[in-house]
Amino acid sequence: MEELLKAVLLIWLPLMLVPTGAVFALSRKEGLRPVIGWSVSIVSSVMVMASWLTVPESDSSAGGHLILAVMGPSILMALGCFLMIFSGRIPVQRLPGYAGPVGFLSVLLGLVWLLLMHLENPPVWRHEINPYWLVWWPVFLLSVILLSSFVIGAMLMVGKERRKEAGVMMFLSLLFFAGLLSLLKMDGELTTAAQMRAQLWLATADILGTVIGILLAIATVAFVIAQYESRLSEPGPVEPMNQDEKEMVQKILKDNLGGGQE
Amino acid sequence: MTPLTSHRRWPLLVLPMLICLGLLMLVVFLFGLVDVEESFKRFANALLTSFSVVSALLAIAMFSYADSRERPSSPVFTMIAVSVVGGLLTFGTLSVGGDLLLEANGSAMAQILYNIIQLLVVTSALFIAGGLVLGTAFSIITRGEERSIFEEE
Repeated sequence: MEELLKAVLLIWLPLMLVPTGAVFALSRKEGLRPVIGWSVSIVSSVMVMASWLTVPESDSSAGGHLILAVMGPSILMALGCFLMIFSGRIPVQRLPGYAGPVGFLSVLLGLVWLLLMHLENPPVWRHEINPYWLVWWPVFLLSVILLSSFVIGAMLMVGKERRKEAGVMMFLSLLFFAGLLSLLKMDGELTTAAQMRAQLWLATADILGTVIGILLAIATVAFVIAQYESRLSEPGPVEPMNQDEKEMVQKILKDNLGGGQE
Repeated sequence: MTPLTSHRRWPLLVLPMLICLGLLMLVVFLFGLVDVEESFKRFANALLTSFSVVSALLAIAMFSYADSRERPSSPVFTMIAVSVVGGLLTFGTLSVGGDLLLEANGSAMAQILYNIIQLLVVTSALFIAGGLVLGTAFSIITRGEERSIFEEE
């Protein structure tokens, strides 16, 4: 009973509070709501990631352990992308020229880190490979390849004269494709190629199920809102302005109209 | 080429993605070791869990929509009802209906908890991959040749 309570308080409640805090923060920009929302989200995320230390007896703590394990390479890649984008030709707040190569190195380092995790040092939980690593890694690789091909399609069909950029993107996509194929034939330190092939097949099922589920939920929300809005009655006539409102409008007009000044 | 004006071209956007996925699956299939039953279970579990969890999250988001409409309990309750239906459907399917329990999980509740953690892992991989692809695409675009925004008359 005590173990169950610990799991609820140290994993499940924080896990529930991560998205709740984010939605709460995003729902209004004024006041303390964003600060409280983001604080709750961040503290809860840390609690989820620390769950393999705080509640090691719970099987669910493997998820927190995995998220913590991929946090380092993810931060490196995010930082790298930021540096690469904002050192390019953008109209405002351009970073110095050396930020581009540093960003590229940072992304590369993040990817090499992940590759080394596969080949040499996968996340170990309870003295064996974290079971969720076998889910995360194929889903990540497959998603990169699929999203790259989607972006290539978007560049060619929606963008204007983006063939060169699409070519570079295609090169990266093919690089990942070749990398994935080689991983399907190469044994790692704690994973076998056969295991990787089986997991890749299952990762496809995971991605399709997750994406279709999310799209169905969004479609349901759109349907609910459309139904609700269509049933609302026409708004009644607006009351004429009172004296205070008139004065306020006059003040705004006076402050913002004028002309004749440089 | 005026691609945006032609609605018939939109489905073509997902074509490269489908070709890529098909190729990969073909490769995996040729290697053998494909467990169709297990993959169906994973697909069904992922679908039910993501639908229920995202509906619940959107139900929370509906409170801010409700704020803006000033009298708005019905969409909130509807979304809560939808997520409850999703949750009950998941629980019912796992405990009574089809055989969707994965090997490691002995009960419907254990499977649901496993599914939620699995959803966290899968969505984190999807978001990180999405960030990497979008970040790379934008950095390639911002490094391309400089273009004039307006044509000189």
